[in-house]
Amino acid sequence: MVEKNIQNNETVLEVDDLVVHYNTEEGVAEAVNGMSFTLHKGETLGLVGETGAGKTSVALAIMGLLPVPPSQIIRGSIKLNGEELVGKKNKEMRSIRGDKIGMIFQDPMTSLNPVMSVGDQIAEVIRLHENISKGEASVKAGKMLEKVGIAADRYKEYPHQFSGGMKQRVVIAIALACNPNILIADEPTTALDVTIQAQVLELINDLKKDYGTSVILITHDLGVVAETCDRCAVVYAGEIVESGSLEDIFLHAQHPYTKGLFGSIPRLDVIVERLHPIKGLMSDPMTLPEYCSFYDRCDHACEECKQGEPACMEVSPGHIVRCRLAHPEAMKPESWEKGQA
Amino acid sequence: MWRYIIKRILLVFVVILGVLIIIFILSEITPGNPAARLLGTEASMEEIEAKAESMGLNDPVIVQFGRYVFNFVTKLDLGQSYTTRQPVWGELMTRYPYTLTLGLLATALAILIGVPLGVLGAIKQYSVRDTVIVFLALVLMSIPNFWFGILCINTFSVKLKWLPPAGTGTWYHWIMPVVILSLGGMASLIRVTRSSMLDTIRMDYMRTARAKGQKESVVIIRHGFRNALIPVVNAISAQMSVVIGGTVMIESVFALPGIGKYMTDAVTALNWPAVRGGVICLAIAFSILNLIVDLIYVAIDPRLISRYNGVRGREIRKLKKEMAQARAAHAKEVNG
Ligand SMILES: Nc1ncnc2c1ncn2[C@@H]1O[C@H](COP(=O)(O)OP(=O)(O)O)[C@@H](O)[C@H]1O
Ligand code: SF4
Ligand SMILES: [Mg+2]
Repeated sequence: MVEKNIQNNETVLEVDDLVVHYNTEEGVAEAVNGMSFTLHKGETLGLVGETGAGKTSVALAIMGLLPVPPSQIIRGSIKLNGEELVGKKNKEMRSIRGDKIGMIFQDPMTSLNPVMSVGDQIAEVIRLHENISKGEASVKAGKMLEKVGIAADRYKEYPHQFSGGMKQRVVIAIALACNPNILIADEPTTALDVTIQAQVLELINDLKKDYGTSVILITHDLGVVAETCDRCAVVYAGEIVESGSLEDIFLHAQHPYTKGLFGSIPRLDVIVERLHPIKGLMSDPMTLPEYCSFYDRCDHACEECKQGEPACMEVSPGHIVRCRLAHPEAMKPESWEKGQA
Repeated sequence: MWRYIIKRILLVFVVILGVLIIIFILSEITPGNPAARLLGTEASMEEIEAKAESMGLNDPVIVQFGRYVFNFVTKLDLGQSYTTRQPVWGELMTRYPYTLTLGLLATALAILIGVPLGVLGAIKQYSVRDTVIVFLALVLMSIPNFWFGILCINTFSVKLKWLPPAGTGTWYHWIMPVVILSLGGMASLIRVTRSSMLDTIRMDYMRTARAKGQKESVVIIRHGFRNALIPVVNAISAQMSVVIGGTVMIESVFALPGIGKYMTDAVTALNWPAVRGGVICLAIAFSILNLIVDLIYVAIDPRLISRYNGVRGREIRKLKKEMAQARAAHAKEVNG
């Protein structure tokens, strides 16, 4: 790795060749198919993809919260600070969850316990991982509330007394209360109003900087990625089809799916005749082909694409594409200069 | 919060007054002269007339009702039993403990067994354990109490001679009546708890709790069970009316001298003061139990109080204040 801002940074999380299946009555859903990525200290990695791409499954696998049954980790490894998490006993995972890895869920309206005061819900996680008294935990929880922009005197109020954005702030407070190494935010703003979305993202960003937390931001919104992420991985049918720096993805995308994602975003600066959403539907994880999963929807598909899975190609340092058509960005000197600086 | 509680307590009095009115009207329109019934068949017309006058039976109905309520409230006087000539209140009080013990023990047993079984079934849905529990609930639900009572007496008292067939005295006497009375409630509590737990187990906040690193047992009890409780408490309160009704039958089968037995005897003897007193006693017990259940609701679910007076009330008050201010400002502008 020669990329500038990553060079000196240590790896916090390393996911390698992760495969997650769901064994259901209708068949086996291949939700995650050999995903590999690394997360560096203090960095925000975006996982982008349509609903059903397997983003939540990866997040739950890292947390050790995949529902068993029906799910099953077939193979792969997840290393947190070099420590293997796959196969860890539930008891060991409990001491990691909430302490080393915090998670924010998609729907703030339902992620909080309706019969417990918000302050107590924050204090709970503090008590679990820090050896302090109930009173001290409450004080700390109150401070956490202040940190996410809620007055501490609302400690005793219940979730129904808060708006959606405020609830998500409480969830963020829970996730960050023990100062975790990693924050996984699974579509943290999808369920919120557009005006609130920006505030919540800003809050996550600010806190991340304060605490030096590494963030995995899961979203289907490229706009969110552009605003908050350092690097980005595009997920399709349980595979990372393209990953790289924001510049790689936003300016030099090579995978037809990534290009398609941009084609389906309305742009204000360019007058387009019409949007070009990707044709067809998300591949069914029950019936994934032996060859490129994107084949049915790809405009560039040809017989050659049916000859097995396309290999990953590092087209420029740190920019990886999983497509037969991927080619080195040799003709792009500016990206090389930047990379080697 | 206090506004709700006080209102809810006042409601108990309103309900009891309503019951008094209905009972009074019913006994007014039933045939028979109370004075004649009290004095028996040998009394002369004059004696009966005098007795009726002294009892105030010739006064307007509304006056009689007022007196009845007044006597009850101030002197706990519910009139005299036709059959024993004793004050009804005293007779009821000697019987009340039996019914109360029977009802409360049966309810407690139903809760202690039904609720944990429901939870145990739900947390391992479709497992063998769950299937057995669901089947058990089905069997318990379809057992007819009366028939099962006789069967039990036959088996445990007559054949095995383990338990006394009827009456009171030792705690052995309570076993069969309490267990049999609790079965129906137990079955419905298993079912309600199980389905309510199944609903909450799928909720997102359970995942949030696990994401904190909380133990599974604590996740299920602290986060799941408390949320699942609301329908369960509802079922318990519904069950209590069934239990109170059930005591009447169980008391006759096991010859327990409770209010149920007292009332069945009173009805067959057309002993109206006794029936009236019994119904009032049960109504009071029932209202108080329901009051307790409602207060438990409030304690479990903070949303109830908010719905009652919280957030919206605050908003409305704020809005009213703003409107008043705007109006004042407007008036000032117009005048000034
Ligand atoms: N609890 C589950 N049971 C069965 N299949 C599941 C379950 N959760 C997810 N899946 C399967 O895994 C696929 C990926 O789901 P998910 O990880 O939630 O994707 P995303 O978060 O990207 O929308 C889905 O298409 C679905 O078929
Ligand atoms: S490998 Fe072929 S089908 Fe798959 S994305 Fe590339 S061009 Fe399309
Ligand atoms: Mg998801």
